[in-house]
Amino acid sequence: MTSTAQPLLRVRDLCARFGSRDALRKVGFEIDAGETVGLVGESGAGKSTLARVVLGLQRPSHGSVEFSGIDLIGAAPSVLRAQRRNLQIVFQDPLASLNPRMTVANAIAEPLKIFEPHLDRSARDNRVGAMLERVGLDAQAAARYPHEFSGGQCQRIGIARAAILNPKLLICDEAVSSLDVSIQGQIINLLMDLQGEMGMAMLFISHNLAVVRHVSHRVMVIRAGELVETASSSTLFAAPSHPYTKALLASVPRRPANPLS
Amino acid sequence: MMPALNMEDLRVRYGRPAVEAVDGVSLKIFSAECVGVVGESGSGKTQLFMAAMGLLPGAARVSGRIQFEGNELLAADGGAIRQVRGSKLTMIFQDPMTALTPHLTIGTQLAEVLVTHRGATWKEALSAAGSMLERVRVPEPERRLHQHPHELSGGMRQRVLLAMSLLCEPALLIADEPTTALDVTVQAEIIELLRAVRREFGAAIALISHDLAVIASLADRIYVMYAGRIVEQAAAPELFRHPRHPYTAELLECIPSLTGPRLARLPTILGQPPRPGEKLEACAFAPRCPRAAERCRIERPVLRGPSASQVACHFPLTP
Repeated sequence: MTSTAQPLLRVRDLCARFGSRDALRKVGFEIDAGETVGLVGESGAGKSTLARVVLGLQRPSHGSVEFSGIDLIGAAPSVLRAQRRNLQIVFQDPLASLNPRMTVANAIAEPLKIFEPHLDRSARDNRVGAMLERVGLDAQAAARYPHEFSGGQCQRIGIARAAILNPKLLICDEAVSSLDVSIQGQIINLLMDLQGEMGMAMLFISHNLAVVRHVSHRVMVIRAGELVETASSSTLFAAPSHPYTKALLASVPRRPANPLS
Repeated sequence: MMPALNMEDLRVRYGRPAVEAVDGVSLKIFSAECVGVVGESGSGKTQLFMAAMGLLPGAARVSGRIQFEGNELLAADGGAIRQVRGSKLTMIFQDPMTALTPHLTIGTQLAEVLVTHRGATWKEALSAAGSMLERVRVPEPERRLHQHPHELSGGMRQRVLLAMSLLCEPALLIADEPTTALDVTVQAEIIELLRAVRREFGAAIALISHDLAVIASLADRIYVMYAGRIVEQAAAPELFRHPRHPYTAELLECIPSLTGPRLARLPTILGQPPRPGEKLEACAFAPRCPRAAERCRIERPVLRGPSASQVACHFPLTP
């Protein structure tokens, strides 16, 4: 497929090794601006390693990561730092990813202090206040600490912190996996709303196939460091072609009958 | 018929003023029955069964009745409980790594159960352990006996725990989120294995899970817990077809589906579950409930109805 528009993220031939083990083998894919791409696979398949390499938190042994046309792997530290604001991540454990000694307001303001140092205090407070409201937390949350919040609320804080810089790509690494099912939907809807409003792209990593299906435009299946199948969400779930994808889908316990529909 | 496990008005409290982790739960499990207990984090489902196992921390204050095979467990002394626990009443957990001792071989940990409870010799016990590993479909059981927990995958460790829990032919196996930490393909294998355990060992199973789909694939009967209480109890097919408590209905609606149309927005339940210790004199679900009326905020609904289908709601859904 050739497209005249440049993809937001272009990953080619990516390999990563841990000792003698291949964590990623020749992984290549693209993500367009505003697109949500799901990444599914089992533990140890390389999902998080891929996220870490794309973010520049880990060097690949081979291959390239181009973001907005800029090569991130060979980039000078200053170039990489400038791009960081456009690449943000939300982790699985919302409490562990927040500094326990920082108030919620400070945690959300921190990226602004780093990337928009010219903002004065009141402008920054306004941005933080607006973001808090946007993710569904009330203004009193600002002065409190992470441990005072439930898992779902902490994840809202993590999303606010990631989204406050208007990133072009948000990586969600099992962002809803530790949440209860009644809260999971709230957080996914929030992510989808933010994406619509801000036009950001998402790499949505999860082992939960049903969640990925609803969130993603396209889905990639990774197994033992290799992408074995990539297809549109509707195609992949209705007519999987790779045997591994078929096996994965067949393993999901069947959802009980839907009572309200 | 006498139930294998019979809990009556069980309460588990912590601290002062008391936080009620389990708030007056009555629950029965009959022999060879698979009962699902579903609820979200903090609903009290694990506390309930830890109380039955006598494994709650010292700070917990437990009241009510827990009868196992006709014997009162709460009144029993430590020795009596130790005789039952791990032999006739067993439990497997979500994280099979932390449930095994890292520096002992699989064989030692399995054989110990028979040496302790059955007075077997180590030689007999090791041989029985090997056969049990084979029965729970562990490949190369003889070799596994000499391995340590870290040498096994998560799914294999869960099989080892299952083998350990079955060695003394338990009357009731409590499985607390047995597949939650496992990959989906391994999860399917463990569910299949639990099904085989019922068939081959005839043990009753209490399956605790937050995942209704996992419960649906095994349970005959289901209890739904919310904020330390049972809010609904019914036969599994009935509960899925005609949930009567609004919480059950919404929970079912929240599970994203692998079939049907893709949704632009996922269904959710409004608000948050109550925080531990939040005072709930009336219906705990009322603040999140679309059907809630004035009465729900004043009067606590009690679980009522024929034993085939009970609901604790002033305005239950009608089939």
